[in-house]
Amino acid sequence: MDDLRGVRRHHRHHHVHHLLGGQADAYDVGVLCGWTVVTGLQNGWAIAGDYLSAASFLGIAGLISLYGYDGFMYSVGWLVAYITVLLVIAEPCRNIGNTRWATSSPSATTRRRPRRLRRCPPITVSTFYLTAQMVGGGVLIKTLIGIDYHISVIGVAC
Amino acid sequence: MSSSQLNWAAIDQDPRFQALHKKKTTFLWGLMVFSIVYYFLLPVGAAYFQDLFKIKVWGPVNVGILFALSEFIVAWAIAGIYAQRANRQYDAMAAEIVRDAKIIGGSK
Repeated sequence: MDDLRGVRRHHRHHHVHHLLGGQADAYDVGVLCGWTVVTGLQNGWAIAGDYLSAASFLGIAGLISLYGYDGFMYSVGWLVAYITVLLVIAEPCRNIGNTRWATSSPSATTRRRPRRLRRCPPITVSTFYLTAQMVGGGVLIKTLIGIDYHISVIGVAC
Repeated sequence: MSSSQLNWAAIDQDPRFQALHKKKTTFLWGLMVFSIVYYFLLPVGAAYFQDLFKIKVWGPVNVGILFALSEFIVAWAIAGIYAQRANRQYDAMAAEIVRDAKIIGGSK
C-alpha cells in the first residue's frame, strides 16, 4: 500500500519533459530493473544516513573535540552544500525524470546483462567505503570512550 | 505518443512555459543567494563580531552556538518552502502545459 501511494505521489511530481519521455511508462509502474520505486520519505532517510555516515567518516566529531566552535562550523557547512544540491542540481534533474544511475540508459529496461553490470560499481565502491568507515568510527569511539578496539569496531558495525 | 512527435520549439516559445521557467529561476536563485549569505554570516560573525557572539544566553550556550544551530533550522525551512512551492505552484503550471502539449504548435 505504501508503495502504491509512493508511486502516485511520484507521478504527480513528474515534469513536462518527463511525462512526455518514452521511459515514463516503465518508471510509473514502479518496477524498473527489478527494483521498486523509492518513495520520498525513504529517499529522505537515505540522504540523512548519508549525511551521518559522511560526517563520521570525515571525522566531524574529532574536529569538534579538537577545535571546538571552529570544528562545528565545518559541520554546518554541509548544510549549505545540501541546499545547493537541492536547488541547483536536484531541481533540473527532476525535469529530466531520470535521477538514477541504473535508469540512465534505455537498455536498462530491456537487457539483463548491462542491468546486472550496472549493479557492480556501486556495490564495489560501498564495500570499500564501508570498511574504511567502520574502522574510522571504531578508532574514534575507542579514543573517545577508551574501550577495546575490537569491541568498538564491532559496535560501530552493528 | 513519443517525445519526438512534439513541437518542442513551440512549447519553449509558449508564454506559459516561459512564465514558469522565469518564476522558477528567480525563486531558486533567490533562495540560493539567501542561504549562502546566511551561511557566511557565521564565519564573518565569529571573526568580526565576537562581542555579539560571546553573549551568554543560558549556561555555556552563547549567541554563536545558537546562530550555528539556527543554520540547521534555516536549511530545513528552505527545503520545506521549496517543496511546498514546487508541489503547489510549479507542478500545477507544468501539468497545464503538459495537458496542452499536443495542441501547442501542432504535431510535427
